[in-house]
Amino acid sequence: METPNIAHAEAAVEAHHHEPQSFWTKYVFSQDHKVIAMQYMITALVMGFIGMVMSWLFRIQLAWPDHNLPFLRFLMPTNMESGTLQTPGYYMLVTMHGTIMIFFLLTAILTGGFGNFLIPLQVGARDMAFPFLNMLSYWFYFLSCVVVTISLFVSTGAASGGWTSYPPLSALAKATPGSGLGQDLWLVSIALFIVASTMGSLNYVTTALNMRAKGMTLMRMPLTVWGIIVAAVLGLFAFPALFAGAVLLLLDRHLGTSFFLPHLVLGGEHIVRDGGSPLLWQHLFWFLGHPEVYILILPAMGITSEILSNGARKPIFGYKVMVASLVAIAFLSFIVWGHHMFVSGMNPWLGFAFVITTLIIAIPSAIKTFNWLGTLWKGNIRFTTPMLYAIGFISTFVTGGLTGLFLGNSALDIPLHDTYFVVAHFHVVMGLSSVFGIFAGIYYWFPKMTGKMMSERWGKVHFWLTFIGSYGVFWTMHYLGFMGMPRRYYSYDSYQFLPPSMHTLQMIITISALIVGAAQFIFIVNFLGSWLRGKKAPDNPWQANSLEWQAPTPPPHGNWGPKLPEVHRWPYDYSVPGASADFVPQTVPVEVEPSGEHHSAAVAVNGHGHTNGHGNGHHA
Amino acid sequence: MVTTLEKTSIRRPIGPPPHNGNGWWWSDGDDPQALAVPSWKLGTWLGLGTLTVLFAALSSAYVVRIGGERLAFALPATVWLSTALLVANSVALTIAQRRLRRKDRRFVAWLGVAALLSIGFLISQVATWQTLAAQGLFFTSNPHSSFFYVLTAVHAAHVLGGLGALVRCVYHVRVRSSFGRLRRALGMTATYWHFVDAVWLWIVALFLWTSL
Amino acid sequence: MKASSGQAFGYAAFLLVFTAIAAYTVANKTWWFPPLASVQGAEIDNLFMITLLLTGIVFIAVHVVLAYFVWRYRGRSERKAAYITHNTPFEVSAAATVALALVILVGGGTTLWTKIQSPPPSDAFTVEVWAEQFRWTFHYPGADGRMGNTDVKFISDENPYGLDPNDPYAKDDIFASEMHVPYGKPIAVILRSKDVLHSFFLPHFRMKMDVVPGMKTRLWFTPTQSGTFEIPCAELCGVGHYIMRGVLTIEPPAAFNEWLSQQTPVGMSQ
Repeated sequence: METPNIAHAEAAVEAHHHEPQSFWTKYVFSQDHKVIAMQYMITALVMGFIGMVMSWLFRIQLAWPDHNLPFLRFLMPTNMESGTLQTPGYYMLVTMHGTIMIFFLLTAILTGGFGNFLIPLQVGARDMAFPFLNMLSYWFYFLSCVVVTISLFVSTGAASGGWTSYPPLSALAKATPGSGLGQDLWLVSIALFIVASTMGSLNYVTTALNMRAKGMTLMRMPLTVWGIIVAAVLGLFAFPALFAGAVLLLLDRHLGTSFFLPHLVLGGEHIVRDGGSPLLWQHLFWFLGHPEVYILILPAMGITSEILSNGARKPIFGYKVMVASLVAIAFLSFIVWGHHMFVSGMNPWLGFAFVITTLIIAIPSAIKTFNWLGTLWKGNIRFTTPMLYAIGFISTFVTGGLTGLFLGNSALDIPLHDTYFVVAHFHVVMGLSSVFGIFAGIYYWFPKMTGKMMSERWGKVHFWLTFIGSYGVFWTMHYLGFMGMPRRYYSYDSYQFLPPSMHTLQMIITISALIVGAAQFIFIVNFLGSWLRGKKAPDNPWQANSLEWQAPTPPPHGNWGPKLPEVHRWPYDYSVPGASADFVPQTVPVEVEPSGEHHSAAVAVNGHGHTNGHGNGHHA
Repeated sequence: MVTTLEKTSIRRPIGPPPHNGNGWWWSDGDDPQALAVPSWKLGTWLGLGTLTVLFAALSSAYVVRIGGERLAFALPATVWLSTALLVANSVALTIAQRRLRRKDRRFVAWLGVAALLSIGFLISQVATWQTLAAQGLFFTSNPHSSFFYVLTAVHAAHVLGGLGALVRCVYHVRVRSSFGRLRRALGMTATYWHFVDAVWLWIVALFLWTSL
Repeated sequence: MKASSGQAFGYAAFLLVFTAIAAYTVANKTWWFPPLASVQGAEIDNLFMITLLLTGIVFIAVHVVLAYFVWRYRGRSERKAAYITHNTPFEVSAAATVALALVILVGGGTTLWTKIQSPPPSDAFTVEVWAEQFRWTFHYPGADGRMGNTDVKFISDENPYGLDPNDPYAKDDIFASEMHVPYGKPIAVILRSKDVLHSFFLPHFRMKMDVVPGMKTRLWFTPTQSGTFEIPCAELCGVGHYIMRGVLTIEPPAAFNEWLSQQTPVGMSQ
């Protein structure tokens, strides 16, 4: 107590710091946010790879319905007997592709992977607020991945009622092959995933709000942190609805309740239930489901904003508005779920309200787009791989967002609902965009995570193949949607209203998908190869401002050495007039940074932020 | 500086950070950026927010599912016993917290009272289910009974969790944890229990409302 | 910075080429909706074109601007970016413009939605449609001109669509595996499902409605053409979802009556 403050702090650091010693506590049951981040990231990438391979198999079926490819049996041991994908297998693949990509890849990697790695490092904390809970979160996630993977191998097949698992199809084992044990495992794995996600989200929000370093005001947090914690809040308040739904559906399946099941006749047999409503599941599902797509996009928006500013060497345009629009989108996402149900039999007058709330989301989304363009305007763009992906994000987000204006308008949704137009829309806006955000983030933070640089050359090859190929897949799908092609069809041969040119389009899509798939091997080799024998990364390879780049590379346990960083400015001080370099890290005090003739002007710019504690230097 | 860090091997405390949410390595106290709420409290409240949505989802599913149809059975009298037990439980925990704040060791006795009350609640809850079953109202009998069993069972699971939290508090007493740690553990436990008790009142109110 | 110019040029070129191909194929209607055949569909298509115009302008503008910025502001070591943090008037006016466009879309959309969801005209010809894995069946009134009640609980091998045995109107009802309707009247459809969710989709009429077990859902439309059209199922209903194909024939009233008279009543008399 008598010691001076700083010495006291250092003593406290030493007294309380404890590096895990054994292999098990260091790499397996680690409570270090960086190790957990890597565990999340690698598990999610493995799951994503499985999901991608699934998409090849059903895309091959759609382009060449008469294919006979016996060698594919090593990817698909059942349902591929004659070298042709069979119908039950097709529906399992479609269902599990969606499930795996949305929950086990995108949600997991964005919050569990990036959230874990970036939040403590970007707010200047030594770890998460609740490291034990954090470890538990990963292991619950891991368990959910194991359960969902086991479900692929049960004899009756994996769940095949679509990723939305609408009852009665998903409630009755007789309704479809996958609705046996496969569907049970699906529900259990989703429940486990929700537990994992909740434990993680509690941590992300608490850490970002409560463990910021000195000077890191809320309005000085990088947009990445904002995007992730707003997504985490969405997860906290949306996922329980699906948890409740999963519990009720399991009861309907096994105990004969009638939450979602009315009296029905399946295959000539009466299933006597007491007036349950299939729509109830849809409400519960989409109350999660819609916020869920924003859980996927908001962190990607944050990552993109961060990288665009860094790559353009220019402050992010309209920081406060960017934060406000993230929050606005998140809030609105809770009151738009009905737009998935315009033609579900829901009271049409409810549809009215959902049209209005849905289209209002276009306003904050448009503002974000203008601000990203504003960030590039008069920038000095470096075409690094992360930057290529971040720019690609703008394009895909706009493309996919605009098609949302068709689907969100109930009258237009009538012909387009459940066609390929919908498939195209959500893949572009929340599949591609969030994948682009993820790739941008991986290329950008890989040096900090591993201490090695990824190959820029192969990164660019990966980007171009992925970018062009993805539009080949998903832009083309819009046309099939115009034609009225319903989604989730094993084959389209029996329909005459579809013009023959749809076969050409299906082939373009599949070939593009296979090219994009092949490109991911380049990524895998680059990722693993660079990790093993890549060029050693400097501490701040992108000359960035945010705190994580001021930490050692890779950051040690506890991140910061004995003394926590102190923050003096917002993270977007790029190309500050008068500054000697085109970036000024957040840790640089305002008084000592500028040099040269513009000294006084620069001090004024940053001094404004310093004095009122909102150091975002908002002076145009 | 990094090397000295790595060499230290004194165990760091397990559990939430001591105060002010500054993290357990950095404890010089007054970080201006942290919220006034300590991390453990913030975490607890966020977690309770999640559970609120869980019960809200089940409750609204009930209301939508029955679509204005009246409750077909009378709530067994044991429901009122359960209610009394849980209200008493909240009171006991409040007293325990007060005692602890005054550093009065007898707070442990009140933890015991709270635990007994919650076990009493579980017994009363089983009795409620048995009364319903005796009337021929089973899990699948009608949507009201289905939702009654689901809501009360999910609630009972949370009561079990609360019992675990009480045991954890007693454990802290036994291993002579610091005063701050005890206060935190009891604070979390009490907050959680008040929530569980409030959910019970909500469930009772919901079924009273549907029987109107 | 030669590499930078190469990437910038490639990026700008790709964005422009992509935008041009996208804009051309859509404007040219290279791959387009099936031929239109209903009054409501025409209004939906109108709103679609208005939305397409507005979103198309934004799509092209954003991509052209993005391509221009990528090329114009490509990194060069001698340059330095401008220090611009925000521009409130720009953001407010951009948001206001978007809001204005949305008012058009919401206004048009909700007006049309109200029209489509209003009750069918009294002269509408009504057909009850039963969906089951994996086929459609169409229920017509018999000679008495009134459709009998149906309920899932009455379904048996002898009574596959659950006609109410106590309903006198049910005695002479007709069930057909194809849908025929007379041309010149609005068509109202009552949708029933025996088992799981299905969706009754009429691509040419721009109509779709889910078929939900335990519920009656409805849609109505006014055909503007006669002919034969397909009815795909648009909600995943199991392994045979893709072969759940129905046929709708819209024909002159005389031909329709002729067809109906050839159908054998499968009422309760069996």
